[in-house]
Amino acid sequence: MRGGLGLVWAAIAIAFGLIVLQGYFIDLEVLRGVRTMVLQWAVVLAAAALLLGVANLLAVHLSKIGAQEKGWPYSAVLVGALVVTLLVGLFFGEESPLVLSVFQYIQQPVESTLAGLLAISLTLGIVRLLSRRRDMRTYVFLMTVFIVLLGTGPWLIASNGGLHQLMGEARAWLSQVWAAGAARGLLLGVALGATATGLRILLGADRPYGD
Amino acid sequence: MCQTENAADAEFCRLCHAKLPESPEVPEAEAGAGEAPAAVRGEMPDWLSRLRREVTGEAGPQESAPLSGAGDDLDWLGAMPQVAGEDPGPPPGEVPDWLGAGAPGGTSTDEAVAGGDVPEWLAKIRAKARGDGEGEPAPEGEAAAERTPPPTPVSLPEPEVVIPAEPEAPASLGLPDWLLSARPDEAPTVAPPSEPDRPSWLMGVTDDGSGELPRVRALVFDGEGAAPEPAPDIDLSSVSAQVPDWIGEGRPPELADRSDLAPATLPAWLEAMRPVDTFRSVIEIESAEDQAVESAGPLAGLRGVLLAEPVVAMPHAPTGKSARLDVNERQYAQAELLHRLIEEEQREVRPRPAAKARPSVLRWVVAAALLVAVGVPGILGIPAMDLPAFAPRDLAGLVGVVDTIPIDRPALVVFDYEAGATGEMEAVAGPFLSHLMERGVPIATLSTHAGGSVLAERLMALQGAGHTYVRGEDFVHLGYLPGGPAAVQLFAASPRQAVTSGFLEEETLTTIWDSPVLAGVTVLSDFTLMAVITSGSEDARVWIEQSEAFLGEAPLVTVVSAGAEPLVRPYYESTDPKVNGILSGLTSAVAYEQRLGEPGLAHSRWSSYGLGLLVVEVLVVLGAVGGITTGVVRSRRR
Repeated sequence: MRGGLGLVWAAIAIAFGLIVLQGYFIDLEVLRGVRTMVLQWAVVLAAAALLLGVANLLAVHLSKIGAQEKGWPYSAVLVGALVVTLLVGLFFGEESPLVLSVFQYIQQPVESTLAGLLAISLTLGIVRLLSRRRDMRTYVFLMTVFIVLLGTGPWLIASNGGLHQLMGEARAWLSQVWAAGAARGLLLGVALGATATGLRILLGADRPYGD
Repeated sequence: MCQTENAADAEFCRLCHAKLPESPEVPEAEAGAGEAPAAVRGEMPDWLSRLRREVTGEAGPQESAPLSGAGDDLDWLGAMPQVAGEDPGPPPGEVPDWLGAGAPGGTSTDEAVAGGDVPEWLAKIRAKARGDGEGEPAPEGEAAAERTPPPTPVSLPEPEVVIPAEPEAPASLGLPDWLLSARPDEAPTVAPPSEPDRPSWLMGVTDDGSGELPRVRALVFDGEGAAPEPAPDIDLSSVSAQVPDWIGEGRPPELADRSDLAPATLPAWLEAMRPVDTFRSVIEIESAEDQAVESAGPLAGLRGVLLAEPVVAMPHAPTGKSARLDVNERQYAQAELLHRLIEEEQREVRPRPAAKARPSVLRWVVAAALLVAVGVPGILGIPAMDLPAFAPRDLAGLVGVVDTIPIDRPALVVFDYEAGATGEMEAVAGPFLSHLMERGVPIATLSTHAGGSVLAERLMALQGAGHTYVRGEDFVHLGYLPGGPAAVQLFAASPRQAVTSGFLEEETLTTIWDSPVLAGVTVLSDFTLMAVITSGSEDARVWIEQSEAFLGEAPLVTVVSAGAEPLVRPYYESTDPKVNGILSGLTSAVAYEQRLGEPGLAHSRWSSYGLGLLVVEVLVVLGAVGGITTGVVRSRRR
């Protein structure tokens, strides 16, 4: 019974995958309509999954508050903010100035502050790097960082000079040759992995939706 | 009593302080005639009376008169001989074999004495009965008691061979005075059990004549599986004759005579658990002389009292006794080593006390240096860093794309960055949007992030203020597109079906697609340009890969952060570029603004950006020097 149901799920997944895939090769109005409908279902399911995620987040933190676990006050703040924002959005609408103010004066400054702390943490890590670990890779990493920084920003003196231009060229060489080469390798790997995964799902070899 | 010789007029024993019996005031001759006072006679047990009769030949009455003068509390004792006297004695010649072992064949007492089977004390009594000691004074009490053997089963003289003798003085019996004086005049005669009355199972039981204490052989196996031999002195065949019928009926007939049955054996493990040390195979019954006298309590002064100690010390199965392992030194050492290892491990996993948080001075120094480097130029305007003299090579391609797109159709601008990246992305995307507005291109915004539409409104309002761009007339927000890559695919394939309502749209519109900004747009290729503003390479990759097939002739440009540039650049620098223009980092943005001639956010943040980078460079150098110096110093200390 379980195996038969798994075959049904596999057949449905393969059929829908082929319908979406053929849109890249066959331009038929009927197939285009079916593909659009399937994608709309996927978007609706994704929105439902987002609601489920919010519900799960609420349940997890409510359980933490109930159990008085470590850091439960933070969970209480999170639940309170979630409830208040949700109520404000439901009563006043998502486009109300109040909701936009919440985003502009609370969420955006908080996230920007975290990004600024990230910059400080990265700088501190680089400063401590040679105190913690001294090997060839560390020296290479530090030299690369130093050259890129010198070639990216302006200098106090002799900016746009020959040395600055040289550093700019070195920075471009590092970022557009070495870094771009590595990025191409990553992208090729991602593309090959996605292709293989898609083919395995279309052939029924992988069944991430369950047996 | 202790049988110590006391004075005649003594009332209590001088040794044990027991009350002495009242001595009769009659002459010894009268006592010897059996006319002892009733009070004294009443204290003589019947067995002693019978023995005395047998020795002295005094014929007692068949029915003894009830004892008198012994006090009211001894009436029951006087009644006992009446019952016992009713038993007829065994007929002559029917004494059991074992009982008559001392006189086999019904021989006379003399023969038994000559045979040496009669104990010494009895021999003396018999000798006295024959007149050897007649008229001799009675032995001393203590001496007589010492010569008195323990009560052993001896061959009693047969009734017919008892020679009736003249009444004899008690002293001739070798008995103590007090015992003789307590002899009743008419002691009941208890006839020995006749042979027919003896149970048949007792017929085979004979005395071995060794004179030892009776023993009961314990059921002890001699070895593994070896059954104990049956007691040789008991004829079990005769026992069956006395078994009641109801027992005999319950016994299986096939098991009645199964002598070939294997005896029960103990398993090896059970044999090993047997308490050998405390087990006594033979339990000897101590004689009355060896038994201790109770010294305390209500039974003080009595002999032969059952003691509690033997009961407590009786062998019994071990209850809480733990098995003792037989280990050698090596095993003991290994066990100790294992014990130490476990202790060490437990000590290692012991939670360490929480280390006191030590404030990191270096962290505060780095934070303060960066804040000062970023804040001072932004607030004070000094130092003013030099603007880049050369524009990046990618900028020319982007500017060319924007300059060539038609302005009768809207451009689609995707805002896919988080609120935390607004500091960089607004400065980078600012000149690009300003360029579009300068050309008068209608703009439609979209985002796959929940807060992207708000950020789009913020930046569009900021940039549109200088170009009189009004929402709803010059730009619209398509809003939030949930669903990730599937939503992007859907929007690329069918924009009107993917998005039905926009963000901050006018109430007069039925759908966002009714907006004049989006007039004539039905598919993705209807947009004049598609731009992706993102701080993450993954969002850029999704948009590039999912929409490239549906864009047609519309160009695709990316406005990315400096960190996402390496992963986006391959789409731009390929032989068949998927991206027609790229703008990354603040340096390109400043160059873009310089090219447009409109200093914007990028210019305002250029000095802070430059000075912050310089501070980071200095800190990196100082950290490297400090790290190397610390390493050298540590290596020298070692």
